Amino acid sequence: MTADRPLPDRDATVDAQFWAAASEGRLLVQECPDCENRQFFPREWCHFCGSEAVEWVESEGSGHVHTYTVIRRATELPAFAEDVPYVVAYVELDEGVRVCSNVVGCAPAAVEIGLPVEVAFDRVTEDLALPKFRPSEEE
Amino acid sequence: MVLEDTVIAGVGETAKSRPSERNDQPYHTLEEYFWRAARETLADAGLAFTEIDGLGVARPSVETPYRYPMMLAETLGFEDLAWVTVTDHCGGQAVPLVTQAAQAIESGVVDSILCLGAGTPKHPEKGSGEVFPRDPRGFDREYVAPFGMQGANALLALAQQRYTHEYGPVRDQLAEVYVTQRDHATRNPLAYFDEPVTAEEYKNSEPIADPIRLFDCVVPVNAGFGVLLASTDLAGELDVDPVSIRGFGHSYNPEVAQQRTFYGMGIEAAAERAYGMAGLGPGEMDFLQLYDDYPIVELFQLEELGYAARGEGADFVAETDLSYAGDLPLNTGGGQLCVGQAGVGGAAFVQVVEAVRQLRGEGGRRQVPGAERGLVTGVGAGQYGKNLTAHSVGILERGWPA
Ligand SMILES: [Zn+2]
Repeated sequence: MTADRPLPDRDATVDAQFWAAASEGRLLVQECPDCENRQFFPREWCHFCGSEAVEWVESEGSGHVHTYTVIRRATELPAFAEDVPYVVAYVELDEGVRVCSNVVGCAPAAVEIGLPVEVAFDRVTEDLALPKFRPSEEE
Repeated sequence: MVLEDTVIAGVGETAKSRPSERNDQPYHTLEEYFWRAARETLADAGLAFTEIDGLGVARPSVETPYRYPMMLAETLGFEDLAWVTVTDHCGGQAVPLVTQAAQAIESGVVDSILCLGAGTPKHPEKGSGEVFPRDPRGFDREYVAPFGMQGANALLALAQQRYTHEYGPVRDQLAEVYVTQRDHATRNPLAYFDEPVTAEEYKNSEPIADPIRLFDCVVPVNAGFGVLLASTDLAGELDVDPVSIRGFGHSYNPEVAQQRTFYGMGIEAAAERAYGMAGLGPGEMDFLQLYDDYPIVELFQLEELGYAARGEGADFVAETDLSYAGDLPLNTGGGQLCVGQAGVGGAAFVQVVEAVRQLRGEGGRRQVPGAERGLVTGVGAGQYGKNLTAHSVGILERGWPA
């Protein structure tokens, strides 16, 4: 963990709830009781129907790799240069939303589209953990 | 509907440079690039700063003060402007800037608008990596940046990876697009690159974000561009070779559904609007100037603009001679990939300025024979979990509005 890496701003209300849960090892997505859609990233309203009644749903933390890239050069966020090569992916959770994260716990060459993954929280500060994903143990 | 009372009466473009401590390429301030571009464009039309009554400014990506367009108007030396248009659509904003500015002429508010785009993404004493100031809040900070997502390189890598997973490999065809554009650049004295490359050199260039390699990435340069719009009345008094805007269309943020594709864009909807306005279709274009921050973005566009079905863009490229003298000339000046990209402000001006030159028969050693009509695009603004989200299409034609 390097100090000059970008971290979430936990002052913002809806984001604060997401990150507080993540720091406790819980991955949250939002569900709309009015139109039954789920959404990610979190917002104070449903981006499908505009309802303000959105609720948090705890994700099982399992899904698969929808698409990914292996970062070879840290062109815009130089603080990540020491990590290359690393995998940035969008993971499609079983709850039906896609989440930007990293695939960790395996060689980048082992990652492919469709790979089953499960959440693995990466504690970066005392009160912050980032939800990352590793290959699932059970197929 | 054609823009009946408006023509493009002038274009201008500065030399491109990538100044560094290791070379002596010129470095000018952002304002000087705007000024040089303005001066060239006005000279092209035979007008003076004081004769212009409107200004259009594409927002640059380097940090600028919040009142920047007004400061720029003061710095450049404009007086009593009756209209100022500002766009902030990321890389693709040249077409929306021009078409929004044209509305002011069509409505009779002004007789002329000078549209400018410039950028200085390369500072001689700083490396790259500071080109795009990060937003202080929002989804990018909260849910993207903490995972080390490396900007557009990574976003288009995600899109290309998913596309090839569904439709098959495209590397050889993207090489063909790049090599063709490099050849065009060698014929354009204002392009940054003036040496050809081979398909092997393209395919073996440095890996950046798999499957994106160095020659897939646009080359950031310092430069400025201008497009002067004039009423047909004013242009009739000038010694200009007019270009008219037959149609245009825009589309922003086209998909919010969770099952969206990473490679799907909004250029299809923008094109439908432009074709509809012009009463024309894709088969009636003499050339294409497609926004090209990455060759894969051109492939996506060829599909959505109606040149190939989804998934068949690579076949289309393989079957089509995209050179300036070929079946469907593509990015005849070299495109941004080889002319250079002057930040998000100057980016898509490459397409518009080259289209105007072709329609005026000023393409020199890259002139499309008999070019009467061409299509230009701009795309930009990557968002959460999807491709670029600001899209524009313009159809330009040689001569006065019909
Ligand atoms: Zn809803």
